[in-house]
Amino acid sequence: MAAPSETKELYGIKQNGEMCFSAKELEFLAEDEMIEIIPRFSFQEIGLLSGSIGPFQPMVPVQVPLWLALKLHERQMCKVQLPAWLHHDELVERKREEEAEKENKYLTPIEFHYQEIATILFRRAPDSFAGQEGNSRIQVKDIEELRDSKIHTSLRDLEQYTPAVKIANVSAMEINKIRPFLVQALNRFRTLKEAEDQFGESSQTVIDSQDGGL
Amino acid sequence: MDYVNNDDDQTSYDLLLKRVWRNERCSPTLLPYEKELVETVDLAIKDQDSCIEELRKMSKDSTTDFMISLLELELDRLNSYHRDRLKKIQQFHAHLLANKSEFDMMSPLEQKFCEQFTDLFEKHFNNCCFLSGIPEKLQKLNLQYMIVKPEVDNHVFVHVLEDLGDVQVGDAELEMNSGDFVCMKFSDIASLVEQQKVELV
Repeated sequence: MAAPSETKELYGIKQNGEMCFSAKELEFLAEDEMIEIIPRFSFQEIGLLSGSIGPFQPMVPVQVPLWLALKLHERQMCKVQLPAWLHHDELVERKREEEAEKENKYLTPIEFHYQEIATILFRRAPDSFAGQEGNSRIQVKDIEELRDSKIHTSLRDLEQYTPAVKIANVSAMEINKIRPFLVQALNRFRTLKEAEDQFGESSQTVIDSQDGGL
Repeated sequence: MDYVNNDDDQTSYDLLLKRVWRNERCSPTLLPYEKELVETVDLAIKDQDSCIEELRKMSKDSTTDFMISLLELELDRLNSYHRDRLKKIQQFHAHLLANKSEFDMMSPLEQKFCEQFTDLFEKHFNNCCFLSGIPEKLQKLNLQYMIVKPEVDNHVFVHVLEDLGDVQVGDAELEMNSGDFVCMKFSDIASLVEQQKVELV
């Protein structure tokens, strides 16, 4: 059987240093999240490896994995129900909360795969936004930018070796974005600290010179 | 016709395998081979395959055909784990051969792969490349500094799956609660990853 076109490239992507997942792979993982659909056909319950879904009856909402919902939607066999948090009003509210916490640099709780799910739905099931697609797109982008700027300003506070950095409510895509920088910075801090421990005070000059290159 | 897999335990295999795959991808070292999980999933896939065959025989309308293709699509989504492990084995082959405990983390097939890969690697350099043409004492491939070793001190992102209380991190202690995201040294957290109390993201 031919591999589905959207997963085909997954394995061919060259890994790039600390960048663990490609955006495509993150979307692939996000496609396992459950979503509600309204079927336009009837069928019995079917057994997937990840659990049973169905039975399908016209107009009766049912929970399915996102990838399956998209396949059905492609064939116009269902209507994809927007997750509650992706409704326009809810997005406006989320953005307000995100803005309110701007000073504290605190990320508000959000779906782990929110960017991926939103992007997938914008691209492949835009009709589920009931005409609000354009506006919702802007809201999601705004939320994304607010969160990114919070992450960037808090990274600026990182000035010396820290054995562990906690980031509350960070999402998959955000982790992926800061990974190359944060991992490299922490590794560098660690090497410097090890050198310092080893040579004591005398290493000060070495650290100064290496610091310049950071 | 029974379309439903009634075995309740099966619900989480698919997601467990994805977690194991994610851990493997994010960890700097080769993790122990998930023998039981892979065997269970293999079995489930075989069951599903025969189930699909049965369905195909009975299939009369296009909806059923389409549902069958969905079941097959799910199976297609499941095969990145082995690929990532092989990639790591190729990278660390000499290191794995030199360390008994790490060698044992591989499945028998992977061990064979590792040995044959090393063999081919050496043959390639000795016979096909320039190595046989340079002075003998420069021909060695397995000197300590030449072996690619995993960087266990690399930092990784950890998602805590259950409340763990205070965890020893280097010289300090860190409170880790379910749902926390922490960026920390892999060597500080490796054992908890193996126990699946945290996952790498």
